[in-house]
Amino acid sequence: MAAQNHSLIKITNLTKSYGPKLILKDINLEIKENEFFIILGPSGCGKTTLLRILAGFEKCQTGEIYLANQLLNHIPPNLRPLNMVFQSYAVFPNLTVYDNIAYGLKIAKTPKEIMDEKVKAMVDLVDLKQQIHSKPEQLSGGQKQRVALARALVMKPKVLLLDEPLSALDAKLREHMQNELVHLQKNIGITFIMVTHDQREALSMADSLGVINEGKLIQVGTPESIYENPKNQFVANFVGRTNSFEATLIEKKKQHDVVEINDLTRFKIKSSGFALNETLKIFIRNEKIKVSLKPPKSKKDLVVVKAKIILKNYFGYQTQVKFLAGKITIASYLKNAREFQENQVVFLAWSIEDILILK
Amino acid sequence: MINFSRLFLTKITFLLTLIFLYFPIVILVLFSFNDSKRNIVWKGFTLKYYFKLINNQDLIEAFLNSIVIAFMSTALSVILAVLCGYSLWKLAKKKMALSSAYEGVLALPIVIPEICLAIGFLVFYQEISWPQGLVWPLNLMSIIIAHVTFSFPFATMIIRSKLNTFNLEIEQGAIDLGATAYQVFKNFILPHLNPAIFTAIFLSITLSLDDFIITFFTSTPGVVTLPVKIYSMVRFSITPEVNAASSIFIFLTLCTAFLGLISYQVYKKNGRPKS
Repeated sequence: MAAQNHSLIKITNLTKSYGPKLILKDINLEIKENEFFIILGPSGCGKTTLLRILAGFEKCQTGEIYLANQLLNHIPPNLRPLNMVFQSYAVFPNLTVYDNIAYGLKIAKTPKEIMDEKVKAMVDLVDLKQQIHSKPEQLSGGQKQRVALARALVMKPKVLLLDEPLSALDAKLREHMQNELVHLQKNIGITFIMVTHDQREALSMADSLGVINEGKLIQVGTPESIYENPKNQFVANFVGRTNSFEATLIEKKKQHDVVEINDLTRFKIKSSGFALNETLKIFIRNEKIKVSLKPPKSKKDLVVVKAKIILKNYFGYQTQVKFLAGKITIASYLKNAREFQENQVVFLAWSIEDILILK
Repeated sequence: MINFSRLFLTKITFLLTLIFLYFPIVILVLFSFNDSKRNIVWKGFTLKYYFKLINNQDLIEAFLNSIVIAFMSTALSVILAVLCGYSLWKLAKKKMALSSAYEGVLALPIVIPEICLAIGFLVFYQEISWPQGLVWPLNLMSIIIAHVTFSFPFATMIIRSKLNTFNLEIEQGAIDLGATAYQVFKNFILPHLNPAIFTAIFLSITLSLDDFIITFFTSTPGVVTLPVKIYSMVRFSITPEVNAASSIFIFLTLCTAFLGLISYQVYKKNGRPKS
């Protein structure tokens, strides 16, 4: 779309505290138009508070929020051109599906014919035609969710805010709704800002995501950039499944440095900015580890470790395997682990390219 | 065997409880049909004391007074209770200082001995020289005001605790869609409170109908309610007429409770949210 790079929401130096407790620290964030933006973080990190500040239900102590260059800070929540889907859906229990969806339009005193048309179009969009005159108590979780979505979307908001909208659904429905939400967002072209603690959900759904921890916005970027190049240890551990090792830089040469994974193995890396004898943390994604019964033929650009299988966890579509190499536990996920047994000695190999080294 | 004996004991206990609770009332009602001037031995069935009551102008007047007082004080106390319960809820939600103290102060009239409250009112009305000898139903105002003060805390407690079950995200969802605080109150909070309002109404009516002590102390000369009238009849002698008046009174209270139950059931059937 043409307006892709236009920044729609701009948050500058936002700080929020409850009494002495700092919830959000100096948040700076820009969200583009028509983007599916996801705020990702562990529970209690302040992500929902950020969303509620955007919606207007919480006030921030410092900082400004702009929506298309309009300062939002002092606009009450009922007048903000943003709508929200709540975690509990907050479907109005005393109104039918139709009246739930029509509620905002009624408040805005929309003429009856136009309202009727809009509500019916929305009911079609979220596939609730059968339930249009049902009361919320007759609806399933997924249907309530869609009422909440329709009720917000019918207002044609500039931005739709979603507070962990999928967390109450069972696994299968959840996957279905993930696809549906992404599809919907692309179809109607409204900016979505969603909060979640589920990194898989975030990676698969977002155009762009921001990782928050302990009230700080740590990294913003595309799912790929965050997964492949996490900025710090927290992001590396929180997004995706990762093995981490203590390591030391033991040699510094002209062409390369040598890193030792403590008590296990050593390997060469390109000259880095780390100092000699500096303690480092090494990360390798679980799925990047290859397992074989024999050592690989060529060890070029590979780290190879001998290890014993200590645990096999069968999940159906994949198997989690844990290894003990020296004193270090390493985990990996294999599509097919039939040839491996517990207590077997195997060789683990991963490419030096896939290694992430952080201070 | 053990099961049987346990069940047997339970039944006996239940029966004894029923007797303990209702025996005096059953006797009272039975003896209202007793064909004897002195209400000691059963002499035969009659309805004549009921007919006597219907022709007793004073009693009819007392009965009407009781009804008017009950309805007026209930209307006032429930309206106040909704407003007050809502305010207390808002205060508690905003974690305002002293919000629980306010709730305590409101509940105080419930624990204050009724006789103290009654004397308090008596002194109060004397101090401000409350006008006496007003026309009906204005002459009931002193009683109505007093009744509001003791039924209103109960009503507030019912409303307030019902508000605790209100999902705050409903309120925020409505605000998010553009609703003002008034619209949220009208469209969602009031419908949520409806069952509690029913309960509060019928509790207030029964409390007001039943009250003797406070009514006795706050009534202006010449104003009599049903309980006060029955009391004054007892002072001469316990005749079957007193029994009949009491029976009618019991019937009236039961009707109120029954009506409350029925209207609540009907209301629930009409697809309203479950409480």
